Amino acid sequence: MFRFLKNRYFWIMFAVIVISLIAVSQTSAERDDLTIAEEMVRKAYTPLQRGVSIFRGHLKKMEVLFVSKQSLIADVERLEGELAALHLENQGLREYRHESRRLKELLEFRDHNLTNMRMIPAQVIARNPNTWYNTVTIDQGSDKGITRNMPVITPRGLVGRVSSVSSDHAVVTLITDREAAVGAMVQETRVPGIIVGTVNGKQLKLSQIPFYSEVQEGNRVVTSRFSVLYPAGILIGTIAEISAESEALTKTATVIPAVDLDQIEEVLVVTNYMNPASEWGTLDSGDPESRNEVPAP
Amino acid sequence: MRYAVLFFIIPFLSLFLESTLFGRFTLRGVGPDLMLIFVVFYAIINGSRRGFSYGLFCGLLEDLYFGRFIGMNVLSKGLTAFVIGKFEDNVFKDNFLVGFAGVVMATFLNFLLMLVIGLISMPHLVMDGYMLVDLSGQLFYNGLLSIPFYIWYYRSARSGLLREPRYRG
Repeated sequence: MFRFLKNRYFWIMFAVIVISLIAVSQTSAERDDLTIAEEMVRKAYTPLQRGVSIFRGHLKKMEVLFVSKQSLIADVERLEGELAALHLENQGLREYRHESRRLKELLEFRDHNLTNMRMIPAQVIARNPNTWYNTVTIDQGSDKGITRNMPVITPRGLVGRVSSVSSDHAVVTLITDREAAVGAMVQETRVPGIIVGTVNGKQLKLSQIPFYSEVQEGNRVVTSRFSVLYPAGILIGTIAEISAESEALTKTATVIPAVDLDQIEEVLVVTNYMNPASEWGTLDSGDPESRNEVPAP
Repeated sequence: MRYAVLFFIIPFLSLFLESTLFGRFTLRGVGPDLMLIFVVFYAIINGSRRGFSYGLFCGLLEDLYFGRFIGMNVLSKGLTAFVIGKFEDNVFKDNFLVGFAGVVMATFLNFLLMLVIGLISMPHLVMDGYMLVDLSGQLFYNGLLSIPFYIWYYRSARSGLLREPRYRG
């Protein structure tokens, strides 16, 4: 019955399975440094992926030649309309900004607004082909001062954070990744919650919303002041559906990300964000992002 | 040349195409697993033991590229190839449906193995209906691509770049 135990091949397979399982558990957490083998594999791909990205950029420029004049005129008119509306909104916001700065100075608060931060633009050169992780590779790395856990955004909203870095590229874990967690709040009602990725990687969940809080479909979700890794006020997405959690005093909302993460091509890496809470020493295990076990950059 | 194509060009190109070209043409966010497709073809043509080794090699390359949970793809691809390779002597390899059926079975098996390893190693992993959507998307995509790829692979293994010594005149 146990004749297979005498089979040398059985023991080889058994050893491979055990070693692999140990390796999986040892590498399940994010690491500061890549091994030489990982570095070599990624470095082999980066120039090719960058080449594809550049080629795609040239193709896009050529596409303009085939677009009809009417369609271009319609686009320009639409964009001019949007620009006028944004100019108007900007005037009002500028006033609020000065008011906010003045009040912060009076109260000796530090200004952590996104407009004061330094950002490095980067191109997305590859996407993770595996459905288990939601990551993209960008064409800027430690040579340009990028380090792990730096926030990554687009003008439309939050993208994710840098999860590993090489000299000439970096991997960004998207907010839709199942392991991602972001301290968030509903912009209209200031209700706090935690944004987590979902298994399908296309929607987000805002969990831990107090049951009696006023949250509605269409509300905007932004990063919270208590987020460890991300500057406050960055748009994450819009609430699409709200459901009560069974046997709990909290609600959960489905959030559609503000950024189309399947199509992003350019991102901005925020390089000088320092979480104010980290200066006060209040980051502890109760923080929403403690699940990732990552300190503020 | 055969070994250079098998052990370097095919896995390298598979991962490269998955991360660039197919990353833009996903079905509800799901792309094909080209590496799995070629591991399955290798196992069908060469049997379970060699398939297992090839699966381990390709899985390791994939894991090193991803940089996390190293061993997950090693195990899932290795064991999947081992199981599929068991059919080596019982199928008509010249029929393209063999490649199709093998890839569909392997996609399902690979998913199950990844899920089991994931449940062991990821404490926050929660199973839900989206996983089945991902699986069905990948079954469709892999199955579709397996037909032309198997026709090329089989012909190449018989009389082309990947020709097996047993077929040599």
